[in-house]
Amino acid sequence: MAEDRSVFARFEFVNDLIQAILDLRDAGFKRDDIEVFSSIPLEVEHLSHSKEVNLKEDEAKSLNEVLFKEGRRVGFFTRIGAAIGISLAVILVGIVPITYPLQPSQQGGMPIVPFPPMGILSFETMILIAFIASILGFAWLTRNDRIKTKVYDKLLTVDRFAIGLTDLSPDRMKEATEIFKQNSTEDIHEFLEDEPGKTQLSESV
Amino acid sequence: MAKHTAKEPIDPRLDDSTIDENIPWPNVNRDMIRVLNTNTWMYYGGLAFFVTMVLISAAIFYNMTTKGLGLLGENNAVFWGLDIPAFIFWIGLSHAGTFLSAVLFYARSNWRRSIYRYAELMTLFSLLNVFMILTIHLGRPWRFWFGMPVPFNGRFLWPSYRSPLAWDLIAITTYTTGSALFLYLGMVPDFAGLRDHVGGWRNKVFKVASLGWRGTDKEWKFLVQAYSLIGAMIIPLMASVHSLVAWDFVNTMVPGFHNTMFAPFFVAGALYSGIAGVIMLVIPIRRMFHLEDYIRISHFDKLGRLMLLLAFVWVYFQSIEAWGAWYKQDSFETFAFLAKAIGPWAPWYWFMIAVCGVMPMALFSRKVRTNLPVMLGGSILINIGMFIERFLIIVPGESITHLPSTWKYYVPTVHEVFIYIILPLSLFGTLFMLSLKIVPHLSLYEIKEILTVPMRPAVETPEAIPKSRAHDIKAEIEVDSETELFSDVDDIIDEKKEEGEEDG
Repeated sequence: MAEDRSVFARFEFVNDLIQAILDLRDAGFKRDDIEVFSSIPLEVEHLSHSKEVNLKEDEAKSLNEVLFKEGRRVGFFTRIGAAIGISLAVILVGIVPITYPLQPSQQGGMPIVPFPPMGILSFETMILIAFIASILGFAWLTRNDRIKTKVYDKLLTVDRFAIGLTDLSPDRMKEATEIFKQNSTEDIHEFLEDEPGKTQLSESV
Repeated sequence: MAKHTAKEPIDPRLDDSTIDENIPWPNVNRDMIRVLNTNTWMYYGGLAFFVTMVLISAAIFYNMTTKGLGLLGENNAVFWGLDIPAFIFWIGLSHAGTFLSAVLFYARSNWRRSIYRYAELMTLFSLLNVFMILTIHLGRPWRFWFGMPVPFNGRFLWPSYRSPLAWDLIAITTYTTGSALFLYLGMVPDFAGLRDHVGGWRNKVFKVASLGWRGTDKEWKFLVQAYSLIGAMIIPLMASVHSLVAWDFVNTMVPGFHNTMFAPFFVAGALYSGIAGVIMLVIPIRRMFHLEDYIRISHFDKLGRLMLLLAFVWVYFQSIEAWGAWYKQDSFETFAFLAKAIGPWAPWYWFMIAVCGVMPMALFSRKVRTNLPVMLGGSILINIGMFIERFLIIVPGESITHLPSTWKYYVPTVHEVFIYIILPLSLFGTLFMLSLKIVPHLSLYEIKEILTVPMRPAVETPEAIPKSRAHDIKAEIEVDSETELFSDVDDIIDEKKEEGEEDG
């Protein structure tokens, strides 16, 4: 298949990486096709202030589209977890006194379902389940991301940056490689996605 | 072992910066790995001491469990002796982690980055102690699960959710889970950093813990989202947990307990002792692992200011408590307070006032805030004072009840001292020492965020290359023989030199 080629380019400096991303965007690569690797979260607003980067407004916008792709959010899972948590507390605090073996009329004039404890416990269980759901959501969303490309370099957790492009035709591959070379890439690897033994590039570490 | 390259200014007390922004990024990885690989007699000696104390205390606990609660000094009046003060103390200590990591995260305080991981670990281990003390204080710890909402338990009974004691259990479970997840989430990229450069059995642990992290833009996006969300949720949770603990007392009619200010009083006291706890932990760790590049004198200056502020809040609440004892015009309330101020508990009360209320005023002086031995000693004294504070909240009120014929004094036995003071302390020490070998104590990515980002110099000539950042790294770094971290950097430097020679 012609469409299963990938390329992975490593950069030493962040301004080279940014310029490569902008050039790829100018060359018509879609934001969802560009995968950026770094050892810190890259914030466009922060980077824009450095004199070495010196981004224009439209460039900053284009870069931001790549680094903060629109789409699913962890908050969705958090909200679901919070709703489950509140429901759980309401059911628990509501059902326990109703199913108590003694008759409700023998509860000494107090309300059968007490609302102050229900409020407190709803808050606690809401937070508890929302925590768990957020972490599960995070794990799920990043898992989907990992399935897409298998490539990795151990220097990325030290001080290097990288760009990965997948599903490229030979022409697009050539175009991308040229852009990387123009922007002083440190290392380029071209490979087939299902080629074995290509998931780890930096063997010396 | 890598050589330490800390470069402190001549008088570090005058340096206000929280980190040297020019530290190369690889140095951060290297120093984190160095902490994992440093094995000193101080480390193993400390670990052996804590483990020994845990074993001795556990044996005493077993003795108490088999022979009965009669071995404790508790009596009909003072039914909570050292157990509940210890419970409150450890919950209080746990609050610093959330404060330093979540509250200061939203306040965009960069100085928190080097020390918040210690605070979060302190939170987690403190909460494990809280669970242990809760279980032990039941008297029959094997029936701990009676407090849990477990259906079909054969008793046809559920916990009473009208009781603050049931709220406590759920709140502390939530807080412990949340703190553990918050801590773990922040460590995922750091586990990946260690996974890539540390071998041996720990590599397998880091592989699992890093969840296959690669550092892609989407992973960072989701991490930042999840971290911000959990951080936003854990702040009100922190306040609610200690408020619920306070309501355990407020909902009773015991003199000295029935006080509406207890919730904020407890939260403020918790933050106060928590900050002192962080200082107690960080000063020895900084010295043991030579982390002067990351934990600077200015960190203690800022922690000292924070502690001073909290000392004022604490003094305010203490004053309100004293004033309230008179203002209520309830003789039993007055007796309970006078028992502390001029009665049998007076030496403890005035010691507490001296170390938690008067002594911290010395923190107005920058010389005091930047003197680490003084800060360490002061923090230890403050935490001793805060333990006494919790003791004085609980015990005098119980010993002077509304029925004068039941008034009784309380003296803890050796069993109580070991079970409720030495066991939690030594368990905390053991867990913390063990964590130094498998947990990234420095947040790699958060520290790198405030360092200079690697940028290509505006004009690069062959002459400029040797002065590049990579070359500086090579000059400073002694490659760790076990991890062999930076060999790739060396290759790149060699290549560039060759290119430079060819061009030149």
